[in-house]
Amino acid sequence: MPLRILPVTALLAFLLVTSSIGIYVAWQTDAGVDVSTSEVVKIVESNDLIRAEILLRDYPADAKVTDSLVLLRGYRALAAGRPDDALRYFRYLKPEGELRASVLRCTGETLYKTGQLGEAEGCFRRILQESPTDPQAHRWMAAIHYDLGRMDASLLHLRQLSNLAPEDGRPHFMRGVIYHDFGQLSLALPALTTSLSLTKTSQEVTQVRTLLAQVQMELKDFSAAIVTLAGLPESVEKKAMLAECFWNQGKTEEASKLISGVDSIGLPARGQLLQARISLESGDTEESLSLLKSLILQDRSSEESEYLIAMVYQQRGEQQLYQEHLQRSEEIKALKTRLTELSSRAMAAQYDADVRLEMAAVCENLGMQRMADVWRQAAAACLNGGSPKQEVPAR
Amino acid sequence: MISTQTSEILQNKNQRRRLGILLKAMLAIRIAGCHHEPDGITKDASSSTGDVTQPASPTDPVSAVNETQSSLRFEDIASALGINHQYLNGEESGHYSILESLGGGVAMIDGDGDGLLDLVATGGGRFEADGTPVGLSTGFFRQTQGSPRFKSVADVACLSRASYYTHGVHASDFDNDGFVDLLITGYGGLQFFCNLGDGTFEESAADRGLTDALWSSSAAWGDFNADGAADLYVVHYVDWSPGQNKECFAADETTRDVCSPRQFSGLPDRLFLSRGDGQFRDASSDFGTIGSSKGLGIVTGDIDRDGDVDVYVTNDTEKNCMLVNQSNQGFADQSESSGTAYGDTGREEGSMGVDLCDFNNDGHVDIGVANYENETFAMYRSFNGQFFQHVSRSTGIAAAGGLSVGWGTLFLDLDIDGDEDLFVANGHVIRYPQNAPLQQPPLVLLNDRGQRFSNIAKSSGDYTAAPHMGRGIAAGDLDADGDLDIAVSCLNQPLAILRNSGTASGNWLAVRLIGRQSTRHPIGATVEVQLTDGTSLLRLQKGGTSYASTSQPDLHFGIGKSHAQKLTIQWPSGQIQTVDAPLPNAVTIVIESASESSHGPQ
Repeated sequence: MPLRILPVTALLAFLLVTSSIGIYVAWQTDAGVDVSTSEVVKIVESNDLIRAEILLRDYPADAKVTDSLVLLRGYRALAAGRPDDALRYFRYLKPEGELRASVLRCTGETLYKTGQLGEAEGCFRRILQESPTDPQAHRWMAAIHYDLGRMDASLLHLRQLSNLAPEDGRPHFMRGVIYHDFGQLSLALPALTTSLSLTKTSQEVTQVRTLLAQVQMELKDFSAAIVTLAGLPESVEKKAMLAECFWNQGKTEEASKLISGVDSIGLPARGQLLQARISLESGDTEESLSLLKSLILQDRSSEESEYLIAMVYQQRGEQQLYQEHLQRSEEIKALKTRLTELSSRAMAAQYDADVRLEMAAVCENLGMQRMADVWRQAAAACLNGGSPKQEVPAR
Repeated sequence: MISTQTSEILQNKNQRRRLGILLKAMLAIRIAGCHHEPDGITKDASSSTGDVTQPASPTDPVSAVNETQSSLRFEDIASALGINHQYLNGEESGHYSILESLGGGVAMIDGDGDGLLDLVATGGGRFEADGTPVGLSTGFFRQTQGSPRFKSVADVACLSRASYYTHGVHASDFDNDGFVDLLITGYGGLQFFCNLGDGTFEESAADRGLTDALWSSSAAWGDFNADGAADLYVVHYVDWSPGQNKECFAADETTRDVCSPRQFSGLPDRLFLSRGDGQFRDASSDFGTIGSSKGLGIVTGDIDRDGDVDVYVTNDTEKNCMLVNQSNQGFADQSESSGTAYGDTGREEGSMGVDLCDFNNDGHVDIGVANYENETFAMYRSFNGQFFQHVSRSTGIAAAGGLSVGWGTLFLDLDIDGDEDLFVANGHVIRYPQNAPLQQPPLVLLNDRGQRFSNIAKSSGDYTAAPHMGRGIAAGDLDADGDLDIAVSCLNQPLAILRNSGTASGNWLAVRLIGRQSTRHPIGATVEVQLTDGTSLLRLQKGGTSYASTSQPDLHFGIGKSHAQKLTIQWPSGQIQTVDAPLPNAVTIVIESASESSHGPQ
């Protein structure tokens, strides 16, 4: 999925930025720091990693280990991107007293980041029982539900989050993502438009704008998509999307011009696919075949590429290869159809581990290992979560 | 959660999207790693405030792009002509039956042989309290010389009777007597109205062996075995009955809506071969392969230009069916190998309307298919007569089609410039669609020299700029002024008659073929016109086309400022006949024989 590349890349870049901040603060020193429960709570709640580093650096080595100290150390590990280390600290803590909310929050986040979604859900649910307007807990609940394939529940938390933080563009973006996932494009469009109007940082704007353009393209409103894409910084992804818009408008020359200058290796999958299609239409089956085969190497679950390869061979009169690739395309199609059926079942049966395990198996068959892991993790969460066994009534 | 129905409708497109984006979002959430910020977006305190420019908001989600201005104008003159007819689907009874979604068709025929075009339009049906469908009267409007108004004569002509809930009206002179006969498809059975030549029709489906109780959506004529008698291919939809009227819901999960065809099994098509004596026999199992599932549209004609009559059937959520006639011995299913079974992603689509043409004037026959909202209207460009490429995107049809749900589909030279343009009537099938509107404007796509299509619907008149519940369409030169007018059947809306009143000023040429060895209405014939400017144009005598409708059989050529040097007719009988210097701006009547032809203005 070509769209995947851009946001993940951006987010990885952001991750590097946060890591650098961690390294930077590691050698900063300050003296005479006193650790109190209330201060730890303040640090954790305000996500002040710098202050945490300072406090821990100056903390006497032989000092008594208190719950506050454990929380602080766990928080530091978590904030520094070491959730497995953090979990070792949080296992010692009971959510009690003044630390209760912070312990639950950090534990929940750590559990989430270590893939224990069911347990994480339990933590945030407890926070919401005590303070139903806690925006962060809603945010995490939305993410957990989303990962577990419970879109309705996720949307519910996102709506509450939007009410609690009306100036925050992110819940709208997530709603846009969910609506887009399920083809509810007419709902995705206003959600993303709202998100864009509220979003301030350039990385976020890029992410929102990219998905918005994608939605507009799927709504076949290529003119609007071109305008949206114009606001993005230059990139090969942007070129590929723009080229796709032009091509859909019947402007093949403009489309070709945009992507012809880009090395096909550097071109995202959607750009390569477009180039393959343009080559095929112009009769250059060699070029088309080469690009399509390269796409299959990148994503062997692409029935579209397999189908187009079959069409190339058919055009060239190579019957056996045509049949082979057509059959492969049909097999992939059948697996994806099964996955869609299971996905619908997963949405209705929110705590059904079996359906998620089957989804993992289908994903594996499709060569989508990472997705298989995700669904296996979701299945484990269903088994271990201790969540209420309520199901959406099947219609 | 989205409803099962919507989920299924969206299934094909969505599953790739869902998998990809779900993975992306999950990764985004995980990779974000920013404490207390689990959303896909992370906060970057170091970055400056983004320059948020608002994206263009789509003004019309159905067809927001590839709009062009043109001098072409269409004016709905139905009322002025005294034509007052509506196809009704019975939705008011609240059964939410899938039967309601198909709509009906219209035929432009010369029913009485007076040289003037008349109109026939099916009436649809209603539901009894127990859900049993009941047919409503077919409309028949006769044009008479010297009168500006059409006359409603369905009762007099014995054509108003509708034994079944009706959809399509398919005309051909099945018995070669010079009078056009009518087949009406629908739920419950076929009705066959034989034109008695005295202004009346006689229903005789059962007497002629046209017994078919399955739900038929449309049909097409053609002499598939080249015995000189017209055969009939009947397209069936799904296995629905009032007793198995499932409950389905709109995207909000609470509002009742019409079910998707995915909820039902498909029905096999049926082939009736003429016995040559006015009787038919069911040859579905002994003439090669025929289509087998959820059919809606059909076109017959010589698709591969080898002299026999081929069949292309559009199926809803199933692969489309290309049946290539094997020298009149039977059909071979070449759907997949021809590249016309699927959309351009290799997926089955919700296909409805269909027509044939040579849009890029390369001598090969191309296929246009109207599809469902989240799909792309397909233009299958013939590569070599046997293999097709899906070129909707590079021809601008994808963008112009927008999210339309397309039905009646016709290629016709609206602006008389030589290349065939495309008119598609649109309208949704469910009552509460989410992404596309219920009522949709038609597409009026002008062909720019076979390279690209541009939509002029917004600028070509009030009717084409407005949304409707479009279904079947038929074309013909209703006012005999040389350009093609269009009749549009809509769901629960008045039948529209769109008079083409543009300022196109080229020469034109119409050719009426009368078969002798071939059937009198020689479906499968091809006509090529060689022009003085060196170009040549191809037209096909087709059966079916559009959706559930029949257009005037005359073949219409816009020839601009040029003149025709020669007509070359390839008849289904195998004869090749030429006519030199046919007159411009007139109808040339060509009678099949060694070299006979006649000229004369209509």
